[in-house]
Amino acid sequence: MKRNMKNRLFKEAILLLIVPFLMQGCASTSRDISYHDLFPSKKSASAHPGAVAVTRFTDKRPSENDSTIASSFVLLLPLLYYHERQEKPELGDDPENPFSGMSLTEEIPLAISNAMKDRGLFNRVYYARDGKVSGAQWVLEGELIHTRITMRYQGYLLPLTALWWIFGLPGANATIENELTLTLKDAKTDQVVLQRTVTSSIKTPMFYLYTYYNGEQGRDRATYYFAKSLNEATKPFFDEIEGMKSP
Amino acid sequence: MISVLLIIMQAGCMSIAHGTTQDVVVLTDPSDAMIEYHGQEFKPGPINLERGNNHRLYIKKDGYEEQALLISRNISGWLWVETVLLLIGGLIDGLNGAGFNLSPVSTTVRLQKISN
Repeated sequence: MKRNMKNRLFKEAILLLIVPFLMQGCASTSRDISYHDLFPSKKSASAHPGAVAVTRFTDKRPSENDSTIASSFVLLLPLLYYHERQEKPELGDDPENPFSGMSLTEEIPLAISNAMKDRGLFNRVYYARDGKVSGAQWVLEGELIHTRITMRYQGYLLPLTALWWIFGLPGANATIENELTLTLKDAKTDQVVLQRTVTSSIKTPMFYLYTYYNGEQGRDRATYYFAKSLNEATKPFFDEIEGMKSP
Repeated sequence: MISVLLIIMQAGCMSIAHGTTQDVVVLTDPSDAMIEYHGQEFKPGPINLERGNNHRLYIKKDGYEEQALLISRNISGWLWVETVLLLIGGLIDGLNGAGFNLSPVSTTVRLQKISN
């Protein structure tokens, strides 16, 4: 706990010092994690009849977020290495955390219902956040197993290696892993029509430390890659629904 | 001594200038829809929200498809300036949320009727 606090304070201090050098693209960005507009999918040729209600997902994710700092010497140059794993990105303490204040058990089904609507898989798709599914013939339930973001920063954290930036050498990357279980049920009989556990893992290209939250096609990188990972994970499930005879 | 005092006095200047909350104007079409935020209902108009967080609002009316609206926080340009010039002020404004702006500042949400 004490070590985590120390790491956090150290990281904050480093970020505050390094920000002026890495401010490119710090215009405000859209942070909606809805991915249907980021990665538009082809409209389904024929929608299944009836309405599907997407309910709030249950949370099966590990709860801990952790971070470590290590240093070593590479070719006599001091190299500092920072590693952070966020199992629940919405609890991350970064100053610009785009998920701050959100509940992913709510945001992800909302994003999924928007994507299904956009793709036209059913005549009507709505997010039933209160769990009321009256009027729906089908219900889509889900479990969040992982929404893990792993970030690695290296190189910029000492004055000597900060020179790397001047030479245009990015020194950070992140991996976004999503794993969720999606279950499509008959609303009346509660019978499972389709159940799949879908996964996706995306590693970002190397980038400059502070651009993680700023500027990737007009959006912050965290949101962009999180949405991309969700899109990849859910696409096979949507394809399967599309290929089914009307459930 | 004076400059040290000035720096301390200016600490968290955005907290003083515009506070830690911001009014966001949410209008709806139809105009008699309700806005739900954390279980509380509001009429369309200005809603006072904390600057330091993202906020999810729901706009609803019987017979219409509910719409979700995301009000997101963006780091203010002044926070960068404070960070460079006044570390204490930047820390205070960053921690209490005053260093962020919410967007959109004003928006109109159009609801669609549920077709039978």
